[in-house]
Amino acid sequence: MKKRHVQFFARYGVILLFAVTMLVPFFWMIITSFKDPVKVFERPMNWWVDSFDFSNYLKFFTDYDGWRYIWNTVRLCAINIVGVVVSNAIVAYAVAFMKFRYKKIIMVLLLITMMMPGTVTFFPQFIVYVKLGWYGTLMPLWVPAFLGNAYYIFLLRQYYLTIPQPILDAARVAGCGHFRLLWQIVVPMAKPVFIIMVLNTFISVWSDLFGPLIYILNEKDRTFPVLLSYMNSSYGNAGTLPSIMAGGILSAIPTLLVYFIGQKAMIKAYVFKSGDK
Amino acid sequence: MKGKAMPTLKKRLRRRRLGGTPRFFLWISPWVIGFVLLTLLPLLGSLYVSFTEWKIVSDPVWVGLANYKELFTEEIFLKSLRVTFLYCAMTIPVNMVLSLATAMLLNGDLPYSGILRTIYYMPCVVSSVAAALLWSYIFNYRFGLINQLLSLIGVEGPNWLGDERWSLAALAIMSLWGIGGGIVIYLAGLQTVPQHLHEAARLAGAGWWRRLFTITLPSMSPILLFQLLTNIIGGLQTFTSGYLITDGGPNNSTMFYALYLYKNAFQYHKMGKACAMAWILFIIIMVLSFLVMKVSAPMVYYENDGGEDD
Repeated sequence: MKKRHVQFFARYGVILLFAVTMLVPFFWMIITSFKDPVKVFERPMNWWVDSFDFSNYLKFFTDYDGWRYIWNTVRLCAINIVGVVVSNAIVAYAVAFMKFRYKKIIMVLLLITMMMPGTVTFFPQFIVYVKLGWYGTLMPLWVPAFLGNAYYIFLLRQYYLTIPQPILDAARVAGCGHFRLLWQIVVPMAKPVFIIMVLNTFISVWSDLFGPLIYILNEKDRTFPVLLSYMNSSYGNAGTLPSIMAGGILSAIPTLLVYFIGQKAMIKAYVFKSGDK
Repeated sequence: MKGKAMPTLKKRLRRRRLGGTPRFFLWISPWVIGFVLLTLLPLLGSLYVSFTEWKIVSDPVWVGLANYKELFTEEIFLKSLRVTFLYCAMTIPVNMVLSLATAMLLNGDLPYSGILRTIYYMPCVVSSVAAALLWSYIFNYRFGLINQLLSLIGVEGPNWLGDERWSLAALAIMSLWGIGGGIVIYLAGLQTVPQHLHEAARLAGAGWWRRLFTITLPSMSPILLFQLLTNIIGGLQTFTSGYLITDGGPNNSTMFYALYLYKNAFQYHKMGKACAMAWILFIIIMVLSFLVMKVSAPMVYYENDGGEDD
């Protein structure tokens, strides 16, 4: 019994030590966001704040027009989420349940797309968008969401196949068409994967810097991360650091909440064995 | 699979009810369009462009292998390859071991484990811009957090980001902040380790290390392989930290491959060269993935082997 206690405390101690190390940069970020810009680089460093003064946060909304960019980003997230859910639900259904003689070829193509490195296709895609006349519009930032994502199709297909056959047969006998079967039976049963898809899409679109940086030409359409990067480069000096940190914290809050809510679903969705069909 | 066995009556009926090929294509059409538009076309198009000189405004001019030849004799290109491989060699092993170890510590019933997991995951959700800025100040030569801590124990820290001997190491250290992503995957993987094997081994007197190497790691081997591949593919495409923090410097010591590709495409407007770089990277990644899978094949254990597609 004694030995077990020692073991437990040792293990917990290591976890806590790691966790604190991970938190230190956050802590610094938070105290910096409350500091007077003049005092950011005091030496020795002040490990606490003089007062919890929210003026840097206010400045983020007043001086930098934060709301507009937050709204732009939320809008983009919403449409991407709709696209990802609808397109992948449908495609994965076809891949999982519909008969097609050369399905294996489709599976191989899916795998290849899944492994295709983003850096390799990013620039050639840019050329395609330019040729299509989408450059300068927001279309490159949301249309792809409606065109399916190989990884999610694969994940969903695996999950769809774990749905007990008798349930599907019963629904079909009761006269369920493909669409009703999909939306009323298959999608609800694959809920954990859909939760993951929604959360992942939110996080990736919300924090994506690169796509918006390249494709958004109109200053009014910029997203939150783009704003942060411009705050850094165009005003770049220690004076803006507290406001940028305030913005960084604001941008992290939604994703943290999303993660905290989705944690259980996340583990559930990744834990299924490929063989259970 | 039994191959071309006669479908039973039940199966044939189901197939009829499920509809034939046209409907299948209608349903997968979003992905087909996406595949052609966003993968196939860009890939083939860029292969063509990589053999040309193209400055967007004028028409592409065929130059054969000139872009490739130019790249392989170019100092910066070769350096970007070296930098990227070195970065992968520094980060991937440490990252994998550390995140697996942390996941194992976090696994099971622990007080406040939900909060602890969230703490580990937190860095992954911070906007890359804020994180980059944060770390560039943490590594600051004079006021930086790290050098201040080092000075407490009487060590004078290096000029992390301004010294070409330390800049890549600094970015590697920073990348460890993001091990939470791996921890989530490993935690899920640990749930699939068969507990009855652990019990049996424990009763048979197998110690912790023994069980780690004979039960835990083998049953997690598909996930480990998956993570290794993802880490390699991701590592070779490292971009953000080099772009936001150091802009490739000092003296190109953090000029990642993807960063140099980006510069060729969007700063120097050398489309042909950028496309050639994309293709070289594509081939490197394919060859490496293939090698990793080949080498690891005998070591990876799948519980349901031969789970064929229907």
